[in-house]
Amino acid sequence: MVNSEESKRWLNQAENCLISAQKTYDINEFRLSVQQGQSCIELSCKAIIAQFEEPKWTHAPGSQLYSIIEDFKNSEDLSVLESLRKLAAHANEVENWHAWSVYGKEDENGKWVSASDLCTTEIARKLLEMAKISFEIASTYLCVDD
Amino acid sequence: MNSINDNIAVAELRNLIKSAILKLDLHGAQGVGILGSLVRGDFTDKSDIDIFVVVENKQEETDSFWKRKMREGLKSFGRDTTVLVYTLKGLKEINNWYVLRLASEGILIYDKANVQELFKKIIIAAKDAGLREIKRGDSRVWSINRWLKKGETFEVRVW
Repeated sequence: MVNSEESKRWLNQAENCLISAQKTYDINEFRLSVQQGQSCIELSCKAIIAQFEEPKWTHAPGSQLYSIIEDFKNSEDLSVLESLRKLAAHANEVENWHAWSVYGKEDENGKWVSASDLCTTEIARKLLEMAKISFEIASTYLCVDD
Repeated sequence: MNSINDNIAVAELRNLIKSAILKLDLHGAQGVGILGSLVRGDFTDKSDIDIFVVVENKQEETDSFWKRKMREGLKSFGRDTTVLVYTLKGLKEINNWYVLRLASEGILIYDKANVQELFKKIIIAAKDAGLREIKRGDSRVWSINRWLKKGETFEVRVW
């Protein structure tokens, strides 16, 4: 196993999800777009983690990336650390959409909202933008140009 | 943290699961074992039973064959059963980070191909590459445990 190859594999999967998130957004399939957007962000975060260590088996890898950054914060440029922190924050912020985009969730009135009703245009647009930023951060850090 | 009684109950469950697996027809498997919460000691009422199967080669149906067999064989335990199927080649190549987790955490119940010895070699290879197990939250992970500059690589290989 070579760490850079592991990272690249995760990143390729993230890119695939980003393409799907965009395509499904363009045809108004917002639930699918949210699902793919969350996956893209999760996988982009794991691509960075895999450079250093074994990614934990979780849909919220942001905490692990935060820990790595915190352990070695004096070893890297502040601007790089700042962008990685942003990626970690995105990964934690969208974690719940992994389940919500499949099963839906209970709203504040105690009513169960289906995934397709929950995943609105606005939510899909927000996750798509976050996915683009997350993938860009991971690609830049891992220096993947192809 | 689990109480002593909980730990005894998990140990008993582990033994029952081992017995149930050994009663199955394991023809075609090079190794079978348990991993996850069942071996870590954080097994709860909601935990899955995590099983791994090592095979010589994989066909299209290999994964689903072993999943069906294990789920059928362990259904009396009333738990979801997760089954991970690895090839010997994949383990020797350490084809992803989780092979290190398997090698350090997995407990073999059936070991036709001396997979235990391979696990030892994988752990040695990881340590030779400078990796070590560290705590991340409530889990242990294999880590290089130092910052890597852009493009810096390391390799873990069983020679």
